[in-house]
Amino acid sequence: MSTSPVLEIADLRIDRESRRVLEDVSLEVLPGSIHFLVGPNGAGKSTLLQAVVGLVDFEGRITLRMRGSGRLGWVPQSFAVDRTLPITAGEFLALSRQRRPVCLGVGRRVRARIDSLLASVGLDGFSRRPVAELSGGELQRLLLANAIDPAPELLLLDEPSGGLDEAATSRLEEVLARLSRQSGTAVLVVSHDRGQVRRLADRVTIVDRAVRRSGSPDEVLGGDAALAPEIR
Amino acid sequence: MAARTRSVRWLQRGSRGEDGPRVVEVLPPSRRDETTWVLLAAGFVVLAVIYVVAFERFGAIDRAGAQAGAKGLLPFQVLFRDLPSPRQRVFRAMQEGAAEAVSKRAASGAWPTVASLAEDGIPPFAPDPLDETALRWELRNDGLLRQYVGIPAREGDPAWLVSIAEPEPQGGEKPVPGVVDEEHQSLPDGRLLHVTLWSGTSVPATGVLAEPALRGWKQVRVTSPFEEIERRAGSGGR
Amino acid sequence: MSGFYDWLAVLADRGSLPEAFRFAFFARGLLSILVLAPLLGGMSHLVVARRLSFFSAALGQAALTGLAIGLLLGEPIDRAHGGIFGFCTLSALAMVWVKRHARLPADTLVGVFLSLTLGLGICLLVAVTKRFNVHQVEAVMFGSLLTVTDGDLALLATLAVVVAAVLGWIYNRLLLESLDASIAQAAGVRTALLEYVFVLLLTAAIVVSLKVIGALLIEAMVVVPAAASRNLARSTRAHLFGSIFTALVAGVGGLFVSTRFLVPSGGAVVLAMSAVFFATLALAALRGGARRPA
Repeated sequence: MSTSPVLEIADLRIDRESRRVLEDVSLEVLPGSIHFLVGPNGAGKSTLLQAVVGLVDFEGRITLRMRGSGRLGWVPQSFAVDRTLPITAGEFLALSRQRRPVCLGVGRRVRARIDSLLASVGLDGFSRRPVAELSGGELQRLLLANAIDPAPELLLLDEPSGGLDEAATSRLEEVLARLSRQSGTAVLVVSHDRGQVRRLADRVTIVDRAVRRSGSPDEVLGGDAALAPEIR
Repeated sequence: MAARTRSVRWLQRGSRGEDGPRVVEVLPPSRRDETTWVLLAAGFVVLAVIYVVAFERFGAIDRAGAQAGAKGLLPFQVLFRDLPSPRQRVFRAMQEGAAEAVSKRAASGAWPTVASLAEDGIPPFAPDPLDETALRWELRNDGLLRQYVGIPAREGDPAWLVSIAEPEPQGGEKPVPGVVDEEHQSLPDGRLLHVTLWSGTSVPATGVLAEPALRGWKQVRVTSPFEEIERRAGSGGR
Repeated sequence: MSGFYDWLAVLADRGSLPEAFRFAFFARGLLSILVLAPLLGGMSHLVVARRLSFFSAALGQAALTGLAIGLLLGEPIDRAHGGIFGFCTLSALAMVWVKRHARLPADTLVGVFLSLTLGLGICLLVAVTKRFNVHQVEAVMFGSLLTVTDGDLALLATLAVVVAAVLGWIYNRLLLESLDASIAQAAGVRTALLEYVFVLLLTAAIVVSLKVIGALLIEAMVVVPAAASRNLARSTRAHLFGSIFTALVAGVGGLFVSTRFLVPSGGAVVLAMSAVFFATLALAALRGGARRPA
């Protein structure tokens, strides 16, 4: 595994509504590693991910070192879509996988690729299902499918297990593990699930408006209840 | 695999580091950049408007007078001077007749009948031996609409129409200072009549012809609205 | 074009076409609708997806103000393109910029702009009507087939082709950004640029449609087709084609009603469109009732 990080954040400071949300945050995410961000609600974890995507104003430095496709995968915490919009799951995935406007139809080869992609996240046969009819968990899996194909160099997930049952969570963890091991994807996840952190994480950073502790799961989580009361 | 160039606004194009990876820096969204582009676009729009308006106003001067005169005409309007001579004669007669009818209406409060206008020798209602059109005139009323309809004797000849819209009994359209045009004439109390002259082919057997333009009739004007405004502007808006 | 209108008139005289085709203004109006319906009906589903319905109403009002400005600058009333295009474009740019950077909800901001343009337009119209026959201004407010010229048709067709080409090129990115801006941003979409481009395309489409539909009713033309289609559509493709179909049927039907009953074309078209909306709403309710288990 290459030692230069895919994502390097240095001295990140973010203000919102005249309130300091993040102060001097620095961290690195290595290729092929799964890095978890944990912390209490309102700690700034989601804001940190949004800064990497370029959605919020910040001071400091965020650097990406891309060796391959340069693709960034992003799974937001919630999908701010008009749920009454008549778009199917297949059309949604086709938006970034074909040149032809999806209002004129999805190409046959793209459709085959989409069907395979949906199956990989447990949404077999969902291609023609309107997004409006998906449950919260199904929607989350759809967003994951959108983010992981083609395999990104950096994958950001904001509480991806919210709304997922045990089987779906297990499948999500399989996908993340496969991406990081086989494709070398660097994964940065915001999560409250202690069990998931222990099962998947190569590295954990506790964020509470600043970096409180960073290291291996055992170093960060093991034994210190005072630092990790917010993790289930 | 070669890195794909990304055209994302928030990523600054980076350089290849010594160990190969493409280094890019994530930049926050820039309000200043966006504002600059929007102001540039707005400036371009203003310049385009200035050019278009200047072309419309001053570019037309170089064209033939007939074209310039036609500026501002709606598709259902024609100019008097573009009519053939026989129709110009009828139009002139209608102008005179309409003016007289309005004058009698202003004086008596009632619209004069065709018979009374003919008795007074007012063209085109009075028979004229030199008139080849042989129009038969009728006065038709419906609500606030009054129409003197000229029906040709020969099929295929044009029919004519003086259409007058009375003002509302309460209120009505008052003259606005400065607006004097060939479609508006005043009553003694200051309210306006809307008077238009038309030429067409299909005349309903009875009743008024509402919306003549929608029945293919052409409104005949002496000047185009544009010429009229230029003339008013030149005379100080009187 | 006059030869084409004469040919249609001959067919109408023979009884091969409805009597309305005897008049050139009707043929021009029909050609306008045949271009407008796919243009506005097609954009309609994007307008609704991006929640720009109220924005469209504000643009319609801005057109009236733009007309007044154009007339005061000396443009002819039937071709005040500089004033209308210019003011509408500037208003659109300003509204998008403020919406992106202010903290108030979008509909509040659009309401402020609508009030501003309406107030400005009313004041300017008083100055304008001192120089013009106010009845011609009414044609812009409510739409009038009688005012459509061959030049307007050419402009409409040209702009429709340009708008369709640009939209076709950016469609997937635009729809993705409409669904979730953060996902689009991560995928490399220039979200800010797309937002401005779409609004400018919408502005252009609205301005060229004014003569037929009218400034006061143009919002309906960019909202109701998508709303009607949405009642029955279960995919983006169905949504788009349903919107265009609604706009075509209502447009042509409204045109015939307008000339038959001598009502403004814009009003007739919008009423026809609303009828289609309620029909699809009823069909959707029946379909939903049929699907529920006994």
